[in-house]
Amino acid sequence: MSIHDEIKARLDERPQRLFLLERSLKSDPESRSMLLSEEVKAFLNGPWTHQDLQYRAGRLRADLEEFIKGEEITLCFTPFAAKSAYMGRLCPVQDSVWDIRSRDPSPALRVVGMFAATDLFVALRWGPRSRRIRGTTKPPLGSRDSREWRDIIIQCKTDWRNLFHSYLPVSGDRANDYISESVHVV
Amino acid sequence: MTTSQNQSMLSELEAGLPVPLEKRAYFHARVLNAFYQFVLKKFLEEEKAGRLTRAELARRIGRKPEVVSRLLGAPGNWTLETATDLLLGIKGEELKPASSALLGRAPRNFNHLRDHLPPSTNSSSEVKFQQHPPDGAPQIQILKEAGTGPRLS
Repeated sequence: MSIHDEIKARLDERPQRLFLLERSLKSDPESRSMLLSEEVKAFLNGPWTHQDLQYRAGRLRADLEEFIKGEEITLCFTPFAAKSAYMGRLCPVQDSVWDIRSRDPSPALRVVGMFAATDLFVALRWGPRSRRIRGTTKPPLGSRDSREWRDIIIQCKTDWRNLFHSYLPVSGDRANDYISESVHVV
Repeated sequence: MTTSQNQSMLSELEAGLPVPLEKRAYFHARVLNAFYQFVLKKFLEEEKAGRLTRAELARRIGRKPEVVSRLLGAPGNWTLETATDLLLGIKGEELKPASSALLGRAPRNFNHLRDHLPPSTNSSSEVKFQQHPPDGAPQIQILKEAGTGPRLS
């Protein structure tokens, strides 16, 4: 058994807990993959209870698809160091939890997850960065030492264990272990 | 109000219907990201060739190096002025408008994950995002195809 067997099992199981993010336009390239939890998928697909949420979901989908299209990805290994990177490793680094930043429009969103393999990110949780978005009860993640940040990382690790059991996420400090090509450490 | 993502990103365009907000939002971010990727690749070409550094680019366009690093890190709230400045500084070039039809583009069949997963022992399942019907029925459509290899696209 490998983690790919485990992923296959997760995608085949019913009810499904993990979903493949598809390209919205089939003419786009696909050189990486992203798996979504029910929570992230539900946000992307709706239904939404407010237009702010609906708009934000559309923007987030485009930002996540940048990853699977194989576009240039900026990666920051040092927590809190590069706010402008597409992806950043969260603190504590030994947890190997990463976030994808979708900045525009305000409030920015964070999609938190882990790498199951090279070029394969598992997006498990999401949250608004600085303030609540109308139409959702999700609290803002707030400052870097907030309880919300701590909680989302713990939830993410719990989700991972529930999905993949003893398999560990990708870890370490080599960018190409996470993303094989078109990656830039900032 | 309750709205949801349609199965096909282009279904309204095909039918001549108004494009829903989430799809317009998708294209807002998609175009912004395309500008960003275009400019970033230009910068990386110049940097790799040893012709440009972030500090030099900052000097050329009158910005602080940390601002240039931030702009090259993610599109954030980029404007046309941002892209124009960066492209001027990177290669002495200007953006020129161009567009292409979304409908009728040839699909690409390569699926990254499919090539890494083990063969299916049962019938395969193709998983697609699906529009919420008004009655709130499940949004995942599972298309069973017996006797074929795994298809996860």
